[in-house]
Amino acid sequence: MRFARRRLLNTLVLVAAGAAAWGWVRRADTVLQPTSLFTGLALLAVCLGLALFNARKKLPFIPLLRAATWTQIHVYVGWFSILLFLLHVGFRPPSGVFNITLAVVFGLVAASGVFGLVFSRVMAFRLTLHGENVMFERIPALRAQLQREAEAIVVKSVEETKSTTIADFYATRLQPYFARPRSRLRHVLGLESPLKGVLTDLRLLKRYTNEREHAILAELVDCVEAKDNLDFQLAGQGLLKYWLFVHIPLTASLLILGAVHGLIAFTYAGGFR
Amino acid sequence: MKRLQPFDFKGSRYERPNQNWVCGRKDCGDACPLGPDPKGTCRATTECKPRKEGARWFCTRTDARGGKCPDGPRPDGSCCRTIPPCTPRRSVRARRGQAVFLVSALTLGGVLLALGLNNRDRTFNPGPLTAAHASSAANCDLCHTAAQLGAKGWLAGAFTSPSGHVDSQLCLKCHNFGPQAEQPHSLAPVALAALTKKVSVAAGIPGPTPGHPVGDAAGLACGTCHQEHHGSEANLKNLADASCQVCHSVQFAGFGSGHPEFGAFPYSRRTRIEFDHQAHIAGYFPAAAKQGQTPPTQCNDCHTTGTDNRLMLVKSFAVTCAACHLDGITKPGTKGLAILGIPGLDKKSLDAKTTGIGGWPADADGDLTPFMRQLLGTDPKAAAALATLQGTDLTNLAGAKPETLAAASDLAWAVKELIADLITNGHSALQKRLGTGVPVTALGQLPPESAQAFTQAGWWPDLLAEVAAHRAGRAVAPPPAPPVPVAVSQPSPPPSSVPAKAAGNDLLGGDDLLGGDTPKTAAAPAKPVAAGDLLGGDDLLGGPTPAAPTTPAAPKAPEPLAPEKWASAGGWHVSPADFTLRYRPSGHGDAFLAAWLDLTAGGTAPESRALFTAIATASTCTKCHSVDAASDGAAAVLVNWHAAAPEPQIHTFTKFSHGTHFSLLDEKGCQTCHQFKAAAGTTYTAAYKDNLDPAKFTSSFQPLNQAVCAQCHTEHGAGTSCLLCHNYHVGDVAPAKVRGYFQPPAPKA
Repeated sequence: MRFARRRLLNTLVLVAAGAAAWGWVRRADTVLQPTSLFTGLALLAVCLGLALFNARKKLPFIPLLRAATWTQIHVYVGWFSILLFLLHVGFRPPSGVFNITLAVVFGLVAASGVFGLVFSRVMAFRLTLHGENVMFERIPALRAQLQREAEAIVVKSVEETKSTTIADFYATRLQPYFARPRSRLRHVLGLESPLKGVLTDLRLLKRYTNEREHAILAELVDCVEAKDNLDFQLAGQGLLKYWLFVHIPLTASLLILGAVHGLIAFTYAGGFR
Repeated sequence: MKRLQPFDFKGSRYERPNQNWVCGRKDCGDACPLGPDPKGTCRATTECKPRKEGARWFCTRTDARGGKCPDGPRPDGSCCRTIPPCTPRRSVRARRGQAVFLVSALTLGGVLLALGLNNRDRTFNPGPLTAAHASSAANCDLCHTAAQLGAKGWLAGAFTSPSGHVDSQLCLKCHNFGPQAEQPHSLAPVALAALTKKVSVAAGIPGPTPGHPVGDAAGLACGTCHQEHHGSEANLKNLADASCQVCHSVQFAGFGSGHPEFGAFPYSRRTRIEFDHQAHIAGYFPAAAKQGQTPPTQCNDCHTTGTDNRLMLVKSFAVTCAACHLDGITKPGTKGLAILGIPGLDKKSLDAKTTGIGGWPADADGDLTPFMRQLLGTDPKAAAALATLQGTDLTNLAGAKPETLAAASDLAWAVKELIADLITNGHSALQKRLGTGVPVTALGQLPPESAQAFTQAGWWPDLLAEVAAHRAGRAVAPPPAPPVPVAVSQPSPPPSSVPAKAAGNDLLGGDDLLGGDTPKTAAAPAKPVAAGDLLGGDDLLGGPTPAAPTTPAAPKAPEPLAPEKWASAGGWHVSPADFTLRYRPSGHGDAFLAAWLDLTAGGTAPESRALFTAIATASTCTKCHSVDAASDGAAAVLVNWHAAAPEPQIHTFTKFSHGTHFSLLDEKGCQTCHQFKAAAGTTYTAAYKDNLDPAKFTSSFQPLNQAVCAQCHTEHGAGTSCLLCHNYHVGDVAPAKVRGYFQPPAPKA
């Protein structure tokens, strides 16, 4: 409820600010003010302010609002920047090599931001509900640990049952599964899990094993399910981290191109005079 | 589900994702606890650093790494479990930082590269130019002074570059909007304020807005409204109606809802050519038709659109009026306008009481012609004499005061000197008297050689000698016998080649070099001679003329034609009856009358006014061509020689294209919009009587009905944009200048 109220309030503020900006630009256009210069300057300032969010994250010791507050500001000001951009270009597709490049970069930054926002809302929820929550940095080590455990179970099965049925199955089917992260895209997209196929194969194997081997297979099933969870966590958390590989570098590019664009525009337009 | 991640004091490692480097064996679950240093160098040595207690060394491996090892430290105190070195790798955060650096460097490099390339202008061009400007796309400096700064100067230029007004001057190199191009409506602020005040007072609306809400004292830069780089099809003149209403305080929703009434539009003044439509259509045209003529039946018989298809113009005189009115201009029988003449003087009194005025026709009794007053007006002595003699009857100076007589004498000699100057100096004399500012057309149309008629006609046979003597200060005796005017006729136009001569006064007569001893007496009347007889009846080799004819009677000479008849087709002729040289217009558009009407219309001196009035009265020009007071408020006037025919480049606040509306007319034709006003004839013509103010008038037509326009001009119909019917830039808006370069011819080798 609190989240819904906050979202409603912030959305209302965003809509009001957008309407005010749109109305002002229309009015200024009518009285032949150089609105492109005004909106361009505002857009550059807004982009700089949005970029400060990253700097704020690197300086956690500064007591300047909470990170959550910064995130909220970043999200809604980001939406506002898209409106400013549209007002700046006059709701027309830009033209000219440099301007098109700048617009494309802005579009990519905005699109990646929207993607990150949506994904951080959806994926975080899914990650919370999906098995054990593990730290992203620990996942490779945990996967290696899990692989060692599975191999230990297989060795144990050979020693105890004098049968290589499970060992052969592990060598051909499970070893590649544990060797590296699997099916990242399927996990991200929420498609049918690859776990089902592995578990089916294990269930089919069961008819060729005895009671003792059934217990060993049950242990392997636990390992397989844990591995599947690690894959899911890696895919989800990885995407939550790696979308910033698009958003932040392009933001830097956007600021550089925007500064050059502003410089040229001011020079050629003679400023506000 | 199996849980993998322990969270306890001993089993859980502390992760530091903000560090730039992580152990190379981290993914294997075997990362060393120390990890790489900040520069990414592996610091792995051994699993622990044994601690010495007394003489023994003890293992210090943590529980998280398996606790104390079974082998324990070596005797020298070193750990027995060496950690093989790894290749540290960057953390996710560090790799993201790398990506930021890489993309930034690429962007900056790309920008610098683009700035350094030859086609920089094309790269940073913010968009295609309109088709008209497309050729300038690769030369930014043609329209932007900042482009001359170069890329290096852009940073400083952002704060110091010239304002848009300087760039506007580049626009105005090709586009001409007059000296006030950047001011609102291209009008001087004072003129605009006055105009706005006039309109606001008339309409009862709030007064003018001081200045423009956008521009500064220098006005609005061209780029304020005309924004380029929006594609080849962009409309640079596109402007929202609301922009007009920023200044125009009477705001309304659209043309059909709230637009101010047209008022008297488009009739803001009387027509330049006085033409009573109603009188002609109702009276004159039917009468002409009854007489077998073919008068106009449609508006376009007399009107046609101009080259730009906008305004309806009046066709030429020859097409429209000549059929009925040409005869009135060259009507036979009229004497024409007296240009030069000998005024009447009481010669007897002057000869008796002054030093004399030389020869003077005794029968001359006319006044000084206005032309002569104009020419004498620049002679100080003559001007003073004229002032003194104002109201004096020059033909009766018997009881005149000495100063009056002296003035009369001065005037007489001034007249003679004028004629003599015209004979001897020609146009130079005219220019000297009228001033150098007089148009050549006016000078050229008054042939000074025509003054020779004064001597050739025998009025002043010794004029040049008398004037020379007078100027030398010698007394001039009157001639022994006063000449008698002889009917002289001469064809038009060359007065200088007048063939007729008066007997006894012709070059060969009287004092003819070859003449015999023809007895002459003062009382002997001159013989009329046939026109064209150079010898005037005298025998070239003549001896004494026989007293009585012995030969059969010669065939009777034809009666000489009256001079007016000779000049019936127009031109110059001598009028012996009143000692004047006269001019009759040769037809419509007579150059002489037009030139002198224009010349005297601009003058404010009484002589000019009198001459203008004389020409206007004597001629029929101003019967149709209205005369307006000059717009500068001086006493001078101007003659409207032509009907309204605005130049296409002269923009007014309102524009209308007649041509595009023709297809919309129904059977009412032009009267769909231009409807006659009931019984306007009398008041229409009254506006031209003794009225020099063209704004005081009564139109023959009713004002335009706005509702007629509003039938089609709706928002979704023909449009209601302000700029559809109104011009923003008014005045002389010449089209873009043409750079008419030409290649000079190569010099000859």
